[in-house]
Amino acid sequence: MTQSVLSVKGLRVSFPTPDGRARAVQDVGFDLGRGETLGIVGESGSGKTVTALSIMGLVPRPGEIEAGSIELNGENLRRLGERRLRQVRGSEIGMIFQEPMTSLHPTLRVGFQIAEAIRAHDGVISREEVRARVESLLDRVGIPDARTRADEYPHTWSGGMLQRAMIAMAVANDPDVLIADEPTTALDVTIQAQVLEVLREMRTETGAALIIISHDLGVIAEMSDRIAVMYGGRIVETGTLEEVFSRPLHPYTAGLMASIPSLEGPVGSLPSIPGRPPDIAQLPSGCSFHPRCQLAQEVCASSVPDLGSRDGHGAACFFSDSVERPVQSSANVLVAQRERIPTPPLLEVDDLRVHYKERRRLFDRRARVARAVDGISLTVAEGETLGLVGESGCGKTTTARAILRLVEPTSGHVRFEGRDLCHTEGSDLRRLRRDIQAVFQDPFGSLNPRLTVRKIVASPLEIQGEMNRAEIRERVRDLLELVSLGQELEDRYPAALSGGQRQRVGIARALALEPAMLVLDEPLSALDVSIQAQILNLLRDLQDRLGLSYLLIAHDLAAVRHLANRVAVMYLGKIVESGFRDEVYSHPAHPYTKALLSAVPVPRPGARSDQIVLRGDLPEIGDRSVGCRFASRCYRAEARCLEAEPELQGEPHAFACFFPLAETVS
Amino acid sequence: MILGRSESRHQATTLIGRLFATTSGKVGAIVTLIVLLVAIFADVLAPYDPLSPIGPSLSPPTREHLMGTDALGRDLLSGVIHGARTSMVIALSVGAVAMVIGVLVGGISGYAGGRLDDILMRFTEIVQVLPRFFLAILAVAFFGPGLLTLILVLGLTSWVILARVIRAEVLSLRAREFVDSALTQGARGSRVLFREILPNAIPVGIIYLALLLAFIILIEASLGFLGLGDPNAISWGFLAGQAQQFLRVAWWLSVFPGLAITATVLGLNLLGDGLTDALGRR
Repeated sequence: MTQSVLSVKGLRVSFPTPDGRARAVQDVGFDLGRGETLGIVGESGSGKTVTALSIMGLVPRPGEIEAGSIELNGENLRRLGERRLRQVRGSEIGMIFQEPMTSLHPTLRVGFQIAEAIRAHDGVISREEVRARVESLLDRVGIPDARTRADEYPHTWSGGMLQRAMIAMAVANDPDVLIADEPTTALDVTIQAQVLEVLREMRTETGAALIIISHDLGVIAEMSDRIAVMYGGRIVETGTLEEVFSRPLHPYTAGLMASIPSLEGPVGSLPSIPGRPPDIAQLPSGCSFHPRCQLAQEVCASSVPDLGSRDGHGAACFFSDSVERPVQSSANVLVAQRERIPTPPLLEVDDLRVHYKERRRLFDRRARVARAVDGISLTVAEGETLGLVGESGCGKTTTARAILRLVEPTSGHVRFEGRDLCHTEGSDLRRLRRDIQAVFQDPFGSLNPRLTVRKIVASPLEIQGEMNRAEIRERVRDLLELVSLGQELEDRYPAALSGGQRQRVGIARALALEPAMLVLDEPLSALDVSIQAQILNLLRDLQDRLGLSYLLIAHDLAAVRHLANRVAVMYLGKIVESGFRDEVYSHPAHPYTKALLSAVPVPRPGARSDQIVLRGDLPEIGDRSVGCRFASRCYRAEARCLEAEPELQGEPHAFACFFPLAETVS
Repeated sequence: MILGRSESRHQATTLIGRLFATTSGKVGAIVTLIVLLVAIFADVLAPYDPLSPIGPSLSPPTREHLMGTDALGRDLLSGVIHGARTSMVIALSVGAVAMVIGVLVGGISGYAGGRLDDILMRFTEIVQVLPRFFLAILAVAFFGPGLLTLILVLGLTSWVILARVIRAEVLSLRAREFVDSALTQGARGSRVLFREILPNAIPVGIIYLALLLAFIILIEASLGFLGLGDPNAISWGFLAGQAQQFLRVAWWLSVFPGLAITATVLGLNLLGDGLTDALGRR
């Protein structure tokens, strides 16, 4: 093995809490070889970010490193004074943070900020030289027209470009180690693919070792040589990528891998890990995974298992030998059958448009119109799930809000069981709303923080006013049971619930009025990986039991695949492709669908063969231009695409493209 | 396998608990509470009738008269205790009037938006530029000194800041998903405003209310000092105003009412600070 550039031993970091010191990181150790990439995977609270901050000497007060050593090229960083540590940061270790939007100073030019990073570590360099280096750095990370763009302010840059600028800043002084903490979590999947590519290039160019931290096993699998799985502040498994993925030795790793929805393999309920990640202030005794572990025995609750080998493949588990990778069961047959049963459409959306007029400014005679939703037609049949996928800003959430009448459509029709939702008002609308309810994305924002769980779930029943108090109480109890929440939670406030519990409360509330249909707006994206599978299974189960129809709005193609019968792909306010799930996923006709599918990181080492990385950012939704709206980013675009806009054609597999990818079977 | 371990951690979840977790919150709350109790039990606590001459004239603090007496031999301690009542009655009444108007104007303005919002906010701006102190003097000059006049004049001019703060809060809450959720359940506008939005907006208003009360106490004291207070109700400002004739001979006459004003205003300001922390703003 090559000589290690960064060596962490026995790291322990703690934060004081009212109940004593909370150990955020315990006994974490690893060696990072020159040019090697270590992927650290873990859910929220697993200690992965704190580990990264410890290396940089940036643990936020009142947290403190209690023990351990961090050696960079043989120099113990913990012994260094603040002055020397500042030299190390930025010149020997570069860091890339999660939120590119907030990582740059908003009132300084981007180029100036990168120049500062260079000058901080090289005082004698001349202005011209700095400028030339800034431009070449921006060029290398793929910023087009670097000369002029360097003089722009961060707010005029997109998230993907800002993250490139952050990468440029991190590699500006040729560091030995790069630390990227969730570098693509805030970005869309096609932009994520671009940024990961830049990160790979920079790693090769600088020869730096890379620590990439992520909750997404796909990103980790794509980037890393070795991985470390963290849980409850400890590394529970480590090894090379192939070793860990082919034969996980820790039940948590195995469970995590099995619970991730994927783009391949059988579709069905996912084997989920029960319970939820521990709170670091209250870690369970012994192995902190034991309360959720199916292999747990008495010894697991009393003593902490050792990680064993530091270099090779090892797991902190007493029963590593019995760990088996759970197989995703396939309830596929049932789903496939249901797809083919023709049922009358429950929801019909016909040429729906939502246009926003920008407020006219003084001296600006032309009022701009943003066409958030620009002519969408779709149907959802009884008992069916339609997945509406697309990147942020494509109008999928606005579509959902228009269907729910939370925004007024500019034109078009939304019919539910034949009744027009758009032209119903007052008490008729109130009655109609019973049948179509919503589950929202943010489980923190979708529950009123001043009401108890009971009151939240009861409120739709109170509003519709058909039950007396005793009946409502009874119904609330049944609803909570339906979503597997204990009665003891009834009197809690949302603040005392976990993300998964909150989302269950949101689902219970949506089901209170016995709707025929649920609009699910990104129901999983705010949840931890191991919780996502639980909620996904719950949604499937509820659909089977209650015969619900779902309109599922999501950006996560893999999750949509596990829930939807049909999918529709949106791009800039229009549907560009729709059809039955398996047809769209295995034979995408529109280049955008293909690119979207190929951009999703696959949690399997070496899976990537022919990735399509789209150039550029999502254009803004402005006034309508002629031609196909995807043409500016399309890798197959020809002259014709710029002249006319293709219509959505075909049944049941429809696509809006002049040059579709494959012969599709209809 | 243990499913969904229910957690039992409840660290200072109540507002009071979090308020007392900070020093400024603790001191502010205690000082304000003391003033409030003194005001409520003034009759019991005051050793003498504050308006009848019962002791030697201009006596410095003694055992019988802990804060001394004034030129007419009236007990100053009793005066300060009854002054607390006057100050509190005015401050709380003005606060209540301002809060009701502020919450209604701010809530409706923020929730309704559009035309109504424009009209209400322009009206708010008109009220905002009215010189409050001058108006109070004017009202006293026209209608004579009296608690009710003062409360109405100050109450009707002090709600502006509350309305603005509440409106801003309502605007941000209106875009929250739990409000969308209530709308999809078929809730009426009034239910959404009064049940979903305002309970979440009012806490911010309360922070500003504490600061407003401190300001009202100062205005009332200033009016009393100028002799424009209600002559039948002893107030701290009135006491301080009387004291200026004897500034060189009887220090106690100005010091104790002044201390009472300072302590109360400071207490309310600290309470406002503490509330800000406790409600997680800033």
